[in-house]
Amino acid sequence: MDLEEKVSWGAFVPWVLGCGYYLTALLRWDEGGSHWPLGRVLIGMLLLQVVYMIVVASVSRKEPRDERTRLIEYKGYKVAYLTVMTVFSGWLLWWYLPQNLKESPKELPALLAVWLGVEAIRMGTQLVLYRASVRA
Amino acid sequence: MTKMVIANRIRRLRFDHGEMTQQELAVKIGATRQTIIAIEAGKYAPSLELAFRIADAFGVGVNDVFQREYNGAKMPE
Repeated sequence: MDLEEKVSWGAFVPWVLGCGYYLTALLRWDEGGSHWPLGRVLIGMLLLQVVYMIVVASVSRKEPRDERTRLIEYKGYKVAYLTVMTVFSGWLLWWYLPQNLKESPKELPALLAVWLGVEAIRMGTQLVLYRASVRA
Repeated sequence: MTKMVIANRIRRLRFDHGEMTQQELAVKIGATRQTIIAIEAGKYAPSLELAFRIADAFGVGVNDVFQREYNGAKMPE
């Protein structure tokens, strides 16, 4: 396993553990369970990541970030973008808007601005890259 | 359309060049050892730039390192 892969695992595992713990605690909140506040969970995750990164960096061989590393990174961002935008769009169009459109809620312009803004950034970046030199 | 597969002779060329290790080749071309492993296994097709760097590391042409194959058969000359 190379350094980049170890670093990715080090970022992923504490994140899943922290989010899993927090969500489980939230689901049990009604049953009288206790949970750390979100801030403490985040700090715990960050501490775990920092300690892991220090250990991994000290025992692993340093390697350059090459085109394959960057390509894997971009593909990760793409999957994350598609997942978030699909869930967000679905929630907005099929749940939020039908229930709240008649009342014109205050947060609606902000939600639409986020949606349109993200799409504008994606299309703008692609339009620039169509004319620029592209490399992984 | 027939699927094109990029085959390579990197393992053979490494052997012919004093049993060069994957790590040595990686350092020579500025890539990671994982990338060399992926290219050798046919799991990653490098960019033209990286392909030239690999060829230069062995002192041969790109055609001597990479070959295109269509459904397992080499392209007819």
